[in-house]
Amino acid sequence: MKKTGTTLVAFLNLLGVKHTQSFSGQYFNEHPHKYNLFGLSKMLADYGIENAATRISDKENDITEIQTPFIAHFGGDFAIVDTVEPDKISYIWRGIRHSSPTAKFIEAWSGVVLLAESSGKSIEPDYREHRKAEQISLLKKTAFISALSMIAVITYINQSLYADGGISILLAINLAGMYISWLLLLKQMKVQSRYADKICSLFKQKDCNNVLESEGARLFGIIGWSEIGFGYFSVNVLLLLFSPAPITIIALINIFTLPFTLWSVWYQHSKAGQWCVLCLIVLALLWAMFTANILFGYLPLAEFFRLNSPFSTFSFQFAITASCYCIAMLGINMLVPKLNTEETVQLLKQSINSIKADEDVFTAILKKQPFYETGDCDSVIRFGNSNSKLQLTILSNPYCSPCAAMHKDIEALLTKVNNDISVQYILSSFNENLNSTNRYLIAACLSDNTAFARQIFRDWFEKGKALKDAYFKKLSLNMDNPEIEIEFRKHESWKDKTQIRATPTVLVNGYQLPENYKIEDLRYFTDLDL
Amino acid sequence: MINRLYISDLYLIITIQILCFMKKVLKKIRFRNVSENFSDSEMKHIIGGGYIGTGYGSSCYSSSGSCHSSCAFIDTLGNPHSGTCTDVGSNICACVS
Repeated sequence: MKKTGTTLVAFLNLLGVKHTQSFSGQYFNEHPHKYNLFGLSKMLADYGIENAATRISDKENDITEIQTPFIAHFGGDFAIVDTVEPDKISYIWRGIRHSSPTAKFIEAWSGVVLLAESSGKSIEPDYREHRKAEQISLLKKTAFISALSMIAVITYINQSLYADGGISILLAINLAGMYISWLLLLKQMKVQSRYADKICSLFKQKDCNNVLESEGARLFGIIGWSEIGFGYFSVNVLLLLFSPAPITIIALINIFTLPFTLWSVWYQHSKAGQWCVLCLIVLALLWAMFTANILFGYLPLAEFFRLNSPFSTFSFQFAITASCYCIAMLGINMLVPKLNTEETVQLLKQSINSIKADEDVFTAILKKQPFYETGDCDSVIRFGNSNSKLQLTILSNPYCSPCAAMHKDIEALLTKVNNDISVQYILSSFNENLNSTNRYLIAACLSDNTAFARQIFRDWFEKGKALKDAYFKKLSLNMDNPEIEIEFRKHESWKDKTQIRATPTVLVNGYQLPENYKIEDLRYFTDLDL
Repeated sequence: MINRLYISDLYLIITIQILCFMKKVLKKIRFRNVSENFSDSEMKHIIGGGYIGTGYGSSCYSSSGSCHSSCAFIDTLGNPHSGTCTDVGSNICACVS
């Protein structure tokens, strides 16, 4: 589900960068540095957006000179400034557009800005795959809703319900109620909905969240009014479509909802101090239902007086209908937390990621790991910046599948850190017959063409593995170079010295990479002094 | 003669317009002309994430709808801050430290 619009999503929208809401939202929510400017800068860089952060010293004069959109450090949070005029500024904060007098904005702005510029190359990583997944998900939802709608329409026509104006009007009211309650449920689950936001922003307070997050949003603090509302309207629709007989009972139960409408108006006005537009629409629909019931004569008092007999048909029907409401409301109440686990998972992931990305935490964990003496001369198979503070040594096997997957991760890491880490490979093999492959790969690295060697490694792990030594035939490598055998023996003696046999094994400055860390996590430690 | 003058004037006007536009664009502070940009470690200390409030229930807003005079918050790194609640308009009350 799409989560509430994040700073990243809003900024990507303004820059016109191709992205999917679901991935961008999740990427932001799980990012270890989502709360600081470094994180925002790195995220934009991952989308191929060049950016730089600076402090504007002359805030009053320079604010109109900054290229929009930009991210401003505002009131201790980040806001995306969209348009700046001498007297008015428009910005997006937490997914909602605001407008303030420029002077007031400047008061709360620290002067720090993150400036960014997209180009033709700016795009979400793996955009096509994410877009496809999003479209399939949309297709599934559409098919589900279409099937439900078809059943409803066929029933409506088949049972000639259109002939009864009262039922048609009640159906329309309850369908509207279902939709508005659904929007309220989405709000409760903090799922983004453009329509809900638009309706909620009809009044001055910009959103309905303050009312929906207040104590009064839940009956006895247990079951949300939005859950009750959705259950209530859904049952009404089902009963009207499939069992129009207990319409008198629906009308009677509707009367019981009316005191709630008075309490809700009082609560929003006197306690919350703000109006929730979606809630007000629900209240209006309850009264519209009551009016329709009176107008179409669904409230015959004579029926109610028959209630004195506990075993009358009416009493049975009343009990069954009331049970239907209970089942729907409690069912939704139990289902909502399950649907909402994604948010909890993202929160947990972000917490773990932020702990893992802490330099002190990483250093402490890393230094408890087994240590092996490593150095620059261990291997000629080196990629990236050999002068980097972060030195990775990888014991790999050209024929092992996890090693191939690891190489893909290494390639991705090198790209993300602009090759600003050092990676050296020590090669191992399953048996002596396969040693020739190691020699070919060493020969490629001895060719003094790093780009060529890197490409061969990439191709080998991607597709060359299956061809075995035949892969190298067309490359015309100089296999007569005596350095190849020397290098090969060096790798063998390194393995004997360290006694490491498992492949792939990753050493970070000599320390074995902790199990809880992945290769991609190392991107935040390029400047780490170990 | 008149036509030639007219066309050359038109060229001049267009050139001036382009130059004015370019001056306006180049004058803008863009990421390319930022000379003193922050380092990664400096950026890690610029924290956002949640001590600005709107309306009911926030640390900076009273139930009457006006800003309190002072506020305190703990940032996402766990550091305590104190500040002044500032009405920045648009029904937002920011805790500015």
